Amino acid sequence: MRLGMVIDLDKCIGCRTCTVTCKSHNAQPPGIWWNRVFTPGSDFHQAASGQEGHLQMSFLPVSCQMCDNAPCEKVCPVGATYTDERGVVLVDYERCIGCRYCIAACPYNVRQFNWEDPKKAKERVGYEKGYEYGYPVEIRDPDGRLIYTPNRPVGVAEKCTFCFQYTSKGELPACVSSCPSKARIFGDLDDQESEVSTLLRDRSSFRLKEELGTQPKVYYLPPNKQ
Amino acid sequence: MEKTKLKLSRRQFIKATTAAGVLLAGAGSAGWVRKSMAAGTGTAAPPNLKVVRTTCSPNCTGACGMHAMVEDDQLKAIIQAADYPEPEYNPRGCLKGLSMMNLIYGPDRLQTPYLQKGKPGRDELQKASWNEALDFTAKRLQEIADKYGPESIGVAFQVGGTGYIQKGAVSRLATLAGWNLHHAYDQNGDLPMFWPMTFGVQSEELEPLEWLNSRYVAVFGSNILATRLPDAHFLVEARNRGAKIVVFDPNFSPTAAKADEWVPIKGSSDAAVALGIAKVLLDENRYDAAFIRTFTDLPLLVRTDTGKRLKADEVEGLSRPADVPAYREAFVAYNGRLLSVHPEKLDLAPDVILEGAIEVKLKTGQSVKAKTAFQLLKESLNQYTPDYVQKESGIKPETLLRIARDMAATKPLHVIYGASNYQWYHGDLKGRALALLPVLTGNLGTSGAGISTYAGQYRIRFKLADWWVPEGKTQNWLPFLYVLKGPTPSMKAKWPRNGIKALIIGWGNPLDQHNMANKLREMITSGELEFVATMDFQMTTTCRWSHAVLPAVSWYEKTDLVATPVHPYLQLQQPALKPLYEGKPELWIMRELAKRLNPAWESYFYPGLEPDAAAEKIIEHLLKVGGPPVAGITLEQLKQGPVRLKSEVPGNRQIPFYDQIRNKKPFPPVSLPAKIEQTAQFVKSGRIEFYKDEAIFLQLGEALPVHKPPFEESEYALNPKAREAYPFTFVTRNAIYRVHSTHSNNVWMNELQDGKPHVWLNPQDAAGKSIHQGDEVEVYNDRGRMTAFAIIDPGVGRNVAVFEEGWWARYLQGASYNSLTYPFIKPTHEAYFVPGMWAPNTAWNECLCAVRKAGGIA
Amino acid sequence: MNVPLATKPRPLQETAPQINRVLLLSALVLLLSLGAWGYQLSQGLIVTNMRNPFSWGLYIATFAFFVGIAAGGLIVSSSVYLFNLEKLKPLTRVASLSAFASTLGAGAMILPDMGRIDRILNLILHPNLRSPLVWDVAVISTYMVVTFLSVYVQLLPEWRESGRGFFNTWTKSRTPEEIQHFSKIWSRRVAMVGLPVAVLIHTVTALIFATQASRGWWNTAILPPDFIAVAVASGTALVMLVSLVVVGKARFTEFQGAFALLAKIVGGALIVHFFFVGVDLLVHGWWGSPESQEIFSLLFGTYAPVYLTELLLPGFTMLFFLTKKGSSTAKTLIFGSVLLFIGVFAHRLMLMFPAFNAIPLTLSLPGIGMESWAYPISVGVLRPGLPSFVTFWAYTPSVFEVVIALLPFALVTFVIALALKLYPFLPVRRG
Ligand SMILES: Nc1nc2c(c(=O)[nH]1)N[C@H]1C(S)=C(S)[C@@H](COP(=O)(O)OP(=O)(O)OC[C@H]3O[C@@H](n4cnc5c(=O)[nH]c(N)nc54)[C@H](O)[C@@H]3O)O[C@H]1N2
Ligand SMILES: Nc1nc2c(c(=O)[nH]1)N[C@H]1C(S)=C(S)[C@@H](COP(=O)(O)OP(=O)(O)OC[C@H]3O[C@@H](n4cnc5c(=O)[nH]c(N)nc54)[C@H](O)[C@@H]3O)O[C@H]1N2
Ligand code: SF4
Ligand code: SF4
Ligand code: SF4
Ligand code: SF4
Ligand code: SF4
Ligand SMILES: [Mo]
Repeated sequence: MRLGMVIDLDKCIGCRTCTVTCKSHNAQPPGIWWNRVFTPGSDFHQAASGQEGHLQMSFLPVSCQMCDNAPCEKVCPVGATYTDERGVVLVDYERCIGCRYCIAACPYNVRQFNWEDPKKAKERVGYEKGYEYGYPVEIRDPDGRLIYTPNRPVGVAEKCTFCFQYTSKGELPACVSSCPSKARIFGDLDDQESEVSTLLRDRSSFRLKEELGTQPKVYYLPPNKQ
Repeated sequence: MEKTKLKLSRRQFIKATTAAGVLLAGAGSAGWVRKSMAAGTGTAAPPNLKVVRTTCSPNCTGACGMHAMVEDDQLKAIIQAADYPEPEYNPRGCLKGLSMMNLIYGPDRLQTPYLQKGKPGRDELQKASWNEALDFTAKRLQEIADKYGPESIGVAFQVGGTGYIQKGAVSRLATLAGWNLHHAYDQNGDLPMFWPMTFGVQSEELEPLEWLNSRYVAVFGSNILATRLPDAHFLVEARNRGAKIVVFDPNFSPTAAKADEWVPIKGSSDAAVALGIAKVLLDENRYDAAFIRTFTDLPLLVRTDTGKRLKADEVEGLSRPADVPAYREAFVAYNGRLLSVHPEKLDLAPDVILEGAIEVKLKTGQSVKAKTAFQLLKESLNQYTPDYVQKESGIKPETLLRIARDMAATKPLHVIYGASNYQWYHGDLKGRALALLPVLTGNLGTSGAGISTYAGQYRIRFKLADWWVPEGKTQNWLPFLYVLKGPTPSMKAKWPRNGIKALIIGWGNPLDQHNMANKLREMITSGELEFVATMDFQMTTTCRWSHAVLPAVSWYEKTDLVATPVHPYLQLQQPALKPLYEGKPELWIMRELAKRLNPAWESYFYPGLEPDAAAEKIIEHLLKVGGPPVAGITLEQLKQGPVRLKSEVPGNRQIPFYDQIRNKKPFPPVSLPAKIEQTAQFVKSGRIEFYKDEAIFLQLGEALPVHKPPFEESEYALNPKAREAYPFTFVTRNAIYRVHSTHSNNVWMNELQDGKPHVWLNPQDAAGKSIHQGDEVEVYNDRGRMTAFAIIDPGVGRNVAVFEEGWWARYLQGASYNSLTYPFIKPTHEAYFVPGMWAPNTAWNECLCAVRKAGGIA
Repeated sequence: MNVPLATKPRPLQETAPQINRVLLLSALVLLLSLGAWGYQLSQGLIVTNMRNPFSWGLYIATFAFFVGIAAGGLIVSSSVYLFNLEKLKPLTRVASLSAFASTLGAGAMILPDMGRIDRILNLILHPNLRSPLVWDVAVISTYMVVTFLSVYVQLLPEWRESGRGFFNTWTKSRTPEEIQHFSKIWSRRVAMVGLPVAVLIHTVTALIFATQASRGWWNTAILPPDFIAVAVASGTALVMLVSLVVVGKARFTEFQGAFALLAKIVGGALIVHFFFVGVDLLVHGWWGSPESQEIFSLLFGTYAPVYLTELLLPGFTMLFFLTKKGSSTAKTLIFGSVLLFIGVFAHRLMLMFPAFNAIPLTLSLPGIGMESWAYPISVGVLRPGLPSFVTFWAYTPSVFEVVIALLPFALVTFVIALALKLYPFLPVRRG
């Protein structure tokens, strides 16, 4: 099984709902975003780029590309970053030594670091005392590695887990189930019948920075309208 | 807090993931809840999670069904319920709705009542107990009612569709007490006044599912990708199914980017464009004559001497049929003979002329010349040559011709007329002109066709009077613009003899959103408004300017009933959480106030019942008496999930005028809450009316839809110097990050926009003023000023300062962005006043300003 | 053969009384930076100015700097044996000492950079053998042992005689001559083992960067050999500096030849370095891809002052040391070396700037004439008024970072000074 995602840029309306659901369901501390959506070519999201008469605006969501040949995993000195049997690249919050090599290595800049204790960051925002958002249950993989906890330890790296808390139970990732435009499709790339495989067969697709050989498992369908 | 811990055993993990292959294919997100709750099985302690189905209900029309994930009475995460029977509607929701916890648990959440002991807006509010706050509020309201009359107390409680029960409680008390109600639609600028003028209704729209059936969608200034977030995908899908999407907008909006074609036009030049297209349709015989003859007033004769429509009663040998109700009129058509046209029978002989002029002998013996309205329209359109249209709007003649011919050739055609576009002084004229496009081509009342306005949550979906209006009482309605501007000579609404001396506010933040020309602040500072009480769950700008702040609760903490127009479902708001802090549902607040104002009134508010229980009782009752749209729907059903409202259209689809067109029923259909005679009197012919012969229309030269350039009758009339001094238009559009001012303080939304307000400028305009990306910019006029940070966007039209409205004053250095806007009142709107329905609409974008780099010199 | 001793070998304390002051000062700085580190431990790396878009900064640059100068020592002592550079022989102890101390410094610097120092054992418990960082840990540890041994075996004869030192009880049962012999043989052996390890620590440290295809600035095969060239230059310069201190003004002329040779080595290594720099710039620039244009604009635009420091100061030293004038007085040697250190430090900093601020996820958007558009990166920390996503992070180390980065400087100074104070590092003058 190789879990992957297809993002249909034609359908993507740039609403950033996925950005926010990802943040909330995965309890990302203030300042940390696993999943971004920007407007290529513009300094500001949803502003046009180009010249009068040739204006352009499209939207590009980027989260962990779940590389098959993942530099983040290869550089991690302690094996805190690893790929599970479903092809999902994960971080063990209890093993990570915070060296940030993976951040330097990841070509997609999706890796995030807990520069401070998230509790303090939340305190600064001014939430009700003790309030914590996000999926409230700590989750470990079958080997006991800590894949998710609503309150992140300081000094460790984190990133998209393909919503381990949901997908490990056969559910869809939060960004997929929340996308109001149904621009994200998730499934098993090894399964020829899956929607992702079908789409990739039927439509032309591309991956980001393919030339680096990272072999991402996140595919993009180009916008129809160019 | 001790965290629940979860470890999957290897067997579970493998099992679940292999199941995933099967599930992922078709599951949607519906199973999410059950699955995540089942997560704990086999491990130490199953997480104590609860999932509640409720409805997101801010003032955005989304009304998205949500699943709230709750642990120990704390909201942890939200995901779309995605349980609408039509899979196309799933999942509905957006970034704001899914981050509500930032407001519910955020630092601006109101925890207790507050009272102002000093000067509002200047001195700190003081914490108070509920008893103190309620006693004080009741005492002040009583004093003001005694001194100035109860009608000098104004109630602004925003639109009904987002919660009929709690808002109904406010209406109920206001009605009992004889206070004045300020309707939200006109206050917001969301009331498209061309609707009553043309169709006799308040507003109508295709449900978004119907967009898929259109073949041509002409979007005039509606930024669907931002303002109809949960429905935007329908537009993209329609396009991919072959519909042509053309967006007319001064700015290259995200919607324009997704369209087949973006047609940049000058601000408020839409009428010129529409009339230019209409001229092509008529000139090239590309119209549906049968449709026009059957359903519109265009075959009717108009006297050329008075400009009035010829009444059958006036004409020799004709009479008004006896069965014509008093609120209708029989007009005259001609097919070789003069015909008395029955306003409730939509059938005219096919040989009735559309074009031409004839001499008509009147009963008085006088002979007058009459032309068909169609003839007059045609003559009037003569002016709208492609060259003229280009001059006014900027559209190239060949583009105009191409579009006109395309539109005529492609059915169904759907015209979308955005709120931003009608929030101009001549919004009514633009709408009337745009309505010509579908009507002339016979695109109405069928799937995927027509004209729609998509704004906020206006329009009532079923009968609510039993709860909103205590039996035997009548309501006082005062359009809000009069509160800001004062009475006008032409107003039809009743001005309270002492003016408005107190405001009761709920579900709104007028001190940011409706503070035109800084008027509300001034009224509070000067003491003209002696008392302001605000119910909200957050410490908004309005709360800060209030004398009493009454902490309400968010939609996750109370029971309510929701049905917005765009999304044709009846849905419950079910409490997912206990009210936080000392927050209380409005029903409770109203009951407590009622009791203090008059002990007898308590009985109107289900005394003795907890607010949620009371709300359920009321819902059950309203479902029984609500009429056809809710017939057969039960509370139990609603607890399970959304239930589609009933309509006369197969599949209960929402297609405006389906009945009129299919069954040739007279216009207008009923517009709730008004009675038919109240609304039908404005389309006396029973037909779609393009010719308006009320005196004010004739006087202003607006009997037929015409194009009038912006600012002439508004800004320049107010201050002729504005023409030079303020060359920029201040366009205040909506952002994906806020529902108006709600979510202004949502930390994640702010992270996504650099934490500060922006103003969009065209590169050339910016260069002329040495303004660069990110520079702080001042936007100002005679009335007010604000600062924001520049975004230089080549998609922004020339001489426009686009601002994404809704920022709390605290993010604008304390200034109100609405201090720049002005409460213009257009007299044609006043002519269409129906209490609680139609009123002069606010024109936010009819606003001139100048722009300069902050700190610089002009 | 018995070497007649003209004077008794003496530690430095008697020749240079300022040593106490140096010791005290470095101890104070050491405490200060340890204190700052303590604060960082309590607050997290938020006290630095590193953020997601710029995740390695002064610490790693300083680490790389110390790895660089650590090499010189063993390269000097090994080449003595390899190339029979008799002239340098007297300086091998100093060389070993400076190598050992610098390695300590490098090791010490890496610790505060870790987000979770408490989990350092994971490096041993769960090493990922594919990670260049693990290789680096291995070779640096090895190098530390080797340099320590090198110092140890070279000091043993004196310890045997004076009864000082440690791990030396076993020598009591041996004759001084035996120990002398032992020292000689093992010094040579250790140096021979040390040379490849010295080369390796540079190669591997460079590989940490060079393996990363995501960062165009690093991803070049020239990086490891260039690291070695710079290491030979700067490491040798350090040996020279420490030796100058040890030798003192009085005996400068006695070792002038050695110093001149060292200066030549520095100059020669720099020639090689500049050759690599030239080739690298050429390869980056010739193809003219948007990525390399981005890097060039960072090198010669935003970071021009630092980059020019990196180029000009060592460039000057190179030329200077190759002249007779430059290599003949203590003053000029110190001057050139200091310039070189500054330049090399700038070089290490410049490892970071163009690498991080040329954002890997940069896209070409042909439709709109956009050559390279950088995808904004989430900063990782929310501060009111500051953006959460950036395409450029104007990194300058925070005060805490600077103070913490003083740690290896203080440590290296302290260790060298203490060693010089306690033990004699210069063989006595031959009679
Ligand atoms: N995310 C979000 N969605 C919302 C809301 C919200 O606050 N946030 N509010 C809801 C409410 S209450 C309302 S009323 C609606 C408003 O929804 P919209 O009507 O879509 O409102 P705007 O975003 O103000 O503007 C839409 C477009 O109108 C263009 N425009 C302005 N003037 C003219 C003109 O004269 N001619 C033409 N052709 N175009 C013009 C603007 O450039 C802009 O692109 O949105 C609803 N949906
Ligand atoms: N210049 C300019 N001004 C504009 C516009 C524009 O385009 N330009 N747009 C206009 C339009 S279209 C509209 S619709 C208006 C909207 O303006 P408002 O109706 O004032 O809408 P919001 O700013 O969303 O304010 C809603 C308030 O209600 C509170 N609230 C939410 N739920 C509840 C509840 O259940 N109970 C209580 N008691 N309070 C609750 C929220 O916290 C929030 O403070 O703004 C108008 N103002
Ligand atoms: S939620 Fe869907 S449509 Fe919106 S930005 Fe994300 S991928 Fe695009
Ligand atoms: S995108 Fe980055 S974090 Fe994700 S697998 Fe690839 S290298 Fe690792
Ligand atoms: S920061 Fe953590 S996950 Fe990343 S490489 Fe270092 S140890 Fe591995
Ligand atoms: S799969 Fe989950 S973690 Fe990854 S981007 Fe989507 S929501 Fe975020
Ligand atoms: S804010 Fe509006 S669109 Fe967004 S989830 Fe709530 S109701 Fe839906
Ligand atoms: Mo609205």
